[in-house]
Amino acid sequence: MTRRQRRWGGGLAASVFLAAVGVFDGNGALLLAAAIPLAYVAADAISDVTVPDAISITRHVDPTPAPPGRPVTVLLTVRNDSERTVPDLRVVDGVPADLAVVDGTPRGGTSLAPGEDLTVEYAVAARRGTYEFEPVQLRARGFGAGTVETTRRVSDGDRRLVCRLDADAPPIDEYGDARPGRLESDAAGAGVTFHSTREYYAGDPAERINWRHYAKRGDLATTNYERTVAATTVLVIDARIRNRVVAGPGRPTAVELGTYAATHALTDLLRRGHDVGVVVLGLDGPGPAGLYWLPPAGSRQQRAQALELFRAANDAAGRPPNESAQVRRVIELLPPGGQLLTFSPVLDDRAVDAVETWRAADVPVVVLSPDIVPENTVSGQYVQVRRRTRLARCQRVGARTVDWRRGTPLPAVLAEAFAADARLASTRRRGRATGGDGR
Amino acid sequence: MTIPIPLLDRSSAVGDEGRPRAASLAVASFVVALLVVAGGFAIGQPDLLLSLGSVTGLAGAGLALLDRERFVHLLAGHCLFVWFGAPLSLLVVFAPLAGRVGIAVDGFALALFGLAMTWGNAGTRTHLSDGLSASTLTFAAAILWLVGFAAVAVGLAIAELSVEALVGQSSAAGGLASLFVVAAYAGAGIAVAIRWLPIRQLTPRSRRPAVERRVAAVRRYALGTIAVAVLSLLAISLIRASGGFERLEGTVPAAGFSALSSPFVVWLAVTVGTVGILAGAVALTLRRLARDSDPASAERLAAVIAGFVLAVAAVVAAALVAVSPLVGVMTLLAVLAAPLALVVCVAILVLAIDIGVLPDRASGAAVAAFGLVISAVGFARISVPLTFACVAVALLVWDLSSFGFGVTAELGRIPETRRLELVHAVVGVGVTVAVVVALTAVDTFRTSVFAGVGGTVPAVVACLGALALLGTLRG
Repeated sequence: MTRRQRRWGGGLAASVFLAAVGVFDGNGALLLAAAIPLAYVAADAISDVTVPDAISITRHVDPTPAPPGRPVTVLLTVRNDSERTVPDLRVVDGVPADLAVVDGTPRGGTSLAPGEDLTVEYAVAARRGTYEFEPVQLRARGFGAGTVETTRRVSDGDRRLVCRLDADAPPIDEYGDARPGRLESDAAGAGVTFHSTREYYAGDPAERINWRHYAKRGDLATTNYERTVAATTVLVIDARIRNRVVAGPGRPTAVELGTYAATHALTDLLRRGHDVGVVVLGLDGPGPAGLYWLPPAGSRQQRAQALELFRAANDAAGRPPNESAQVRRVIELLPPGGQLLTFSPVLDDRAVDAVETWRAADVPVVVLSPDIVPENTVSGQYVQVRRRTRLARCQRVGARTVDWRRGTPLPAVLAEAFAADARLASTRRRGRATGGDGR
Repeated sequence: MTIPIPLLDRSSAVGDEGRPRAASLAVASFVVALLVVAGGFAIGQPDLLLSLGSVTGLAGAGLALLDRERFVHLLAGHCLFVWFGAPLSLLVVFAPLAGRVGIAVDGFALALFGLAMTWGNAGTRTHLSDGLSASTLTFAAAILWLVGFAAVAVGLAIAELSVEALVGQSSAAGGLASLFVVAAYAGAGIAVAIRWLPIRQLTPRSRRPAVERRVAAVRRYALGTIAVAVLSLLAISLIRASGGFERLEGTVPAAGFSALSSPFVVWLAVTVGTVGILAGAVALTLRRLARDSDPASAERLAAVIAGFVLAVAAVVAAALVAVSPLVGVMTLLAVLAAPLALVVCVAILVLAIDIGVLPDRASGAAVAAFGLVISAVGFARISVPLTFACVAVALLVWDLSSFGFGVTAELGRIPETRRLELVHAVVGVGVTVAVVVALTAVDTFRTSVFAGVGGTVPAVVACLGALALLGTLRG
């Protein structure tokens, strides 16, 4: 589409003014000056423009598929393959309406000589789903900038952004092993890490006989190893309507972030041989008390079924008949010795009430809380203070909390949390060792 | 090191709805600066750019700061806009009376102020409305300050006469009465100061209870002093009526009582009372003006402070009348008329935007172009090439500014667009130079070859033809 811009109305007024003053003053120079705007209008009129057909556009999206909340870099390259210069070319990429640009801008403009290219780089925040990019809008002007042609072109390269919960959580088969869990227990037994030695009993496996002890002392002893056992963990998704909120336009909801973190945890736990179950709170599901419920198991099908449940947590609507009943029912559903790993933004007191209820039943609870509260306003800072107070309340009743701050990649958060946990565990072990010496 | 001044070029100032991108505006400003320097040399004012540019730049910066929320920025905006905008307006209004040179300078001042407005993204109706409000408030505040100064001067004169009447009483009754009158006045001054000064608010929280106890004690003493003084005055009246003081005449106590009305005692007490009342009144006024519940209080306070300086300038000008009547009267009139001229000029700009003569966002660029056209009229009898250059640069400024506005509106402030803007600027400057050279050649040809052959009629005909062609081309 080509159109002309009317920019010289003021120039016409200046001409009339100068002509009038020139006649009134009898000044030929002013009369001549009245003709000056003509030069500019003429320059506009003779500069024609078209967007060349030989303009190639390539888009590169990285990474795709991406997990929710991850900034995805989009690189748009516009190259002038024609034989003539485009003095004024402006480009706007067709960013999907549901995605928010979080860094850079999808717009650019320059003067493109033959063979030159323009690169536009920006980042969008990924949200769960598949998003098609619109055609790229090109707008060209001539040297005089009076004529404008606008067109839309479909780009080469990537044309969609795919965001999946399990985008950076690979299938278990690729990395998993056959060991029965990685949770260390106080009991000694079979394993790989040395624990202690004891007197040999008939029937002990030959590979556990301590031959060095036999060489020194002449009697048989059996080596004990630190026994690893499988844990039973239930992932709790807080998918209430209250939590379907975003930090800004085009950002993932707290439930999306929670299910993404749960996908990570699910993959990791299954890979380490633990039994994992899933329960979704806050929806009216087909399970007991309106829950979406997947019993703990360690089978290969467990991951696929759990991912299906995570999708349901994001897509399903409706309210539960009784939220408190759902919280209490989780305790009944949890197998003996099981623990809860809760994913909640903790935006209200009900989340804390649930943790307190579970802790009152002596259930181990870990809370991973995605932070979706923007702190650039006073009200946002107030909400953030209240959220952190709730996390502190969770800690006070004995739950472990992990605050997943905005902009921090989940693996970094988990690594930091596990590192802190390892330090604590090491401190605990040292404490135990000191106490043992005393006894 | 960070310079502790408010920045004009905030991100919001160059956002999607902000000013033109920098490269376009920089080229336009550079060309205008060259033109002003050339014009200054032509009229014998080589430092014209420096003198006009500093005043217009500071006034434009003040206008840009008027939409800020922080009080310090608002105060800087009011002070800069009114202190520098007022003399600028006076120049704009009265310079054409000085002939062709005045018109040329007038146009340059408008052009530079228009560019300053554009740089500060202050060319919108909202900004100009803020400017109108600020200039009106400051002018009103200056008038109120002058009225206040006059009232204080009259009050001081009356007070001095009253105090002179109290000083030096020869009788014992007169001496005692003087003492109690000035004591009551001093007590009232202290009570007023304690009531209105923000002593509690300015005290650190940890020391507030102790300070509050002390303030309460001082208030009790002050009120007690007033009560005792009033009762004593009544008692003195009764004793004097009963002739009690006549028995003291000529005694040592009578001499002592009369000494109580000595200038040292009376003036000391009067000074204490006056300082207390004035301090309390100023504190009360400032607190009322800066009341948090009123969002416009910061603007009013800034206007009051800016107006104070104008009022002081008027007082100094009035004092000059005694030294040099002509200079003093002219200065006083200028000081009083300049803020009014600013109000009128800004009101005209707002009105021009409202009726559609000036474009809303691009009014700065339009004012700059208009100013250069005015300068062209001024230079018509001084320098023909400068006349052509003024008109051509006016169109160039409009071209580059509107182009820069378009880039800002379409691409926002983030992308790098310098090359795009420079290509357009180079083309525009090229057209400008070509036009000036061509028309100068035509004019030389006209005045040399056809000198005495024809008058302005052929030029009028040519001009009408050009206008018809212009109208046709722009559709």
